[in-house]
Amino acid sequence: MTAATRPRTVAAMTTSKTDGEGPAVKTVGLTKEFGQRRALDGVDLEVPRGVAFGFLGPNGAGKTTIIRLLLGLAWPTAGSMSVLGHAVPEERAEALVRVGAIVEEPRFYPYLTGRENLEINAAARGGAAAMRIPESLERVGLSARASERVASYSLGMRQRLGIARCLLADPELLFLDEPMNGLDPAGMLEVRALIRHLVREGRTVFLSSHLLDEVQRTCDFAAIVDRGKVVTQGSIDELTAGVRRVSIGTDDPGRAAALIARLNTVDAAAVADGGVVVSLASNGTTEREQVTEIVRRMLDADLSIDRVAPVAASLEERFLSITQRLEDEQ
Amino acid sequence: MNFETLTLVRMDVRKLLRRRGLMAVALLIAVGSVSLIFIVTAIRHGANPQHVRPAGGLKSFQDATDFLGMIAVVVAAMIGVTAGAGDAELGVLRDQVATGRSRLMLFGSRTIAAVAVTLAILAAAVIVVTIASVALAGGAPVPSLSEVVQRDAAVLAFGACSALVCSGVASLVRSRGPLMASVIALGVLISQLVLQISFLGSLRELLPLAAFQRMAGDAVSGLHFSLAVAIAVAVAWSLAALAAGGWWARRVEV
Repeated sequence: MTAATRPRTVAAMTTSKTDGEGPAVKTVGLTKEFGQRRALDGVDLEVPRGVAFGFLGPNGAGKTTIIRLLLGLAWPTAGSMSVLGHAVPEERAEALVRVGAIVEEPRFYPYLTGRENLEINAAARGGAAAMRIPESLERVGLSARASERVASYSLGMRQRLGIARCLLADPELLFLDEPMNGLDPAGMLEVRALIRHLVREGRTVFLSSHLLDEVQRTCDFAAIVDRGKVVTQGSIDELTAGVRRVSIGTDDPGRAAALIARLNTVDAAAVADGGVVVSLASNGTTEREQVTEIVRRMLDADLSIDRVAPVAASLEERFLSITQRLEDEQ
Repeated sequence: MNFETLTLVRMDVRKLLRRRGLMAVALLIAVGSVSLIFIVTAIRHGANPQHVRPAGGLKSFQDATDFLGMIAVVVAAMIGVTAGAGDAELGVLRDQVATGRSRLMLFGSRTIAAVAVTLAILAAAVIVVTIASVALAGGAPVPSLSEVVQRDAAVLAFGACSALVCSGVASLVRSRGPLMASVIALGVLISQLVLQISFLGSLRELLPLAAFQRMAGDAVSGLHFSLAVAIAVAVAWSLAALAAGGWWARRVEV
């Protein structure tokens, strides 16, 4: 669904055309140094439109820095970037007209009410932003508490108010920096559903997080960033496809793991879930050949087998394997 | 100034007015202090009219407006510094900048709001002083209209200039407490002392306090300079602070 066909409940929510059909975000060789420290190191990133894009990395990896650069809050040391087809920082104003953002934790005037905080942000945005306040509050479930001072809000409510503030822009693109921070499980579920809903409306959500499971559940695409570099990016399916593992049920997992670990076709074998979880090596042989050899060796060693099943790879494993490999290389 | 800019300024004024503690203290310092002086003097005059002069009259008006000159610095420091540094201190400046709105416009709006609120508070104090000076004059001579206009305008101009300077400098410093204390110390105490150091000669004309005293029509510690120079000094201080604040607002990383 394109922005032009997006449903709206308030006429004022429909504003302008979309800004072209290129990627929502593109960076080329983006570098940012703070003194001697290089926070971003030649980042090439491309975020397709209309998807939830996870920007995944450990704390200090450079996630917030790239968001700050894309929003024109800080200046790059080298490289170029564009947001919704507009070069930043040269065309910052045009680029950010339909961008909503939460950078780090959402901050507000604590002595003002939730609604007043949105009114102030809407005044800075101009246009029809002020007319979107009631619907934005409604969407995040804060209408009933909008007249209370933000000082009395929980962190979860502030997160939701932060998202409401993003919606004032009728955003084509939302930057959400660790939006699950401080949320209880129910709150996380709500935010995840809201993000998916926003994506179904044709919007792009750039979700920065260190919560791998959250990115896997919420996002369609992801990039993994570590030590200021994007180490891989692609669809979640592509990213998780790199890890091939099988679970083998046996009566003596310890002996089986020791036997299997010696095989050339295996990267690692560990006792788990009453059996052995085997990581297959990438050595040119097919998965079928590798599993067949493992089973043959086990039978030769008089080990009984009650199941052989593929293990669904998680983004977490992919992330850990990549970051571990980088550490090993250094 | 178009409607959107006016709305932005209105919101910046609201941000200041809703800091109720700050507003209460500023009003207390400006309006409360001069009211108290007139009330106490009126009571003392009522109790002993032979030895205590009337609370109002020309002399009281001159003294009160001189006092308001110092109070103007305090009020401008409180309001100007809060307007200039408040958003950065609360961490909301980045959300304002992330809207895509010009950083200069955001800075300008905050500064205009600071001047407007400072002037509103000082105007209330000036009105109290003027009315009390006339109403409580008793048999003493009352200030002429031209004297009222000159001294009241001087207080307001000095307040506006101080608010501009404070807002501009606060954008550079981005921390309210220490800056507020420094401005008050410089504007109220140190300026008074420097003004008395005669060997500095006409260099003292560069002090905003000297400019205020000249604008109010007072003798300035042996200095003789024109009203135009006084106005130029006040404008130069304001422009310098605005230029520095605006330059920093454009380039600072938030």
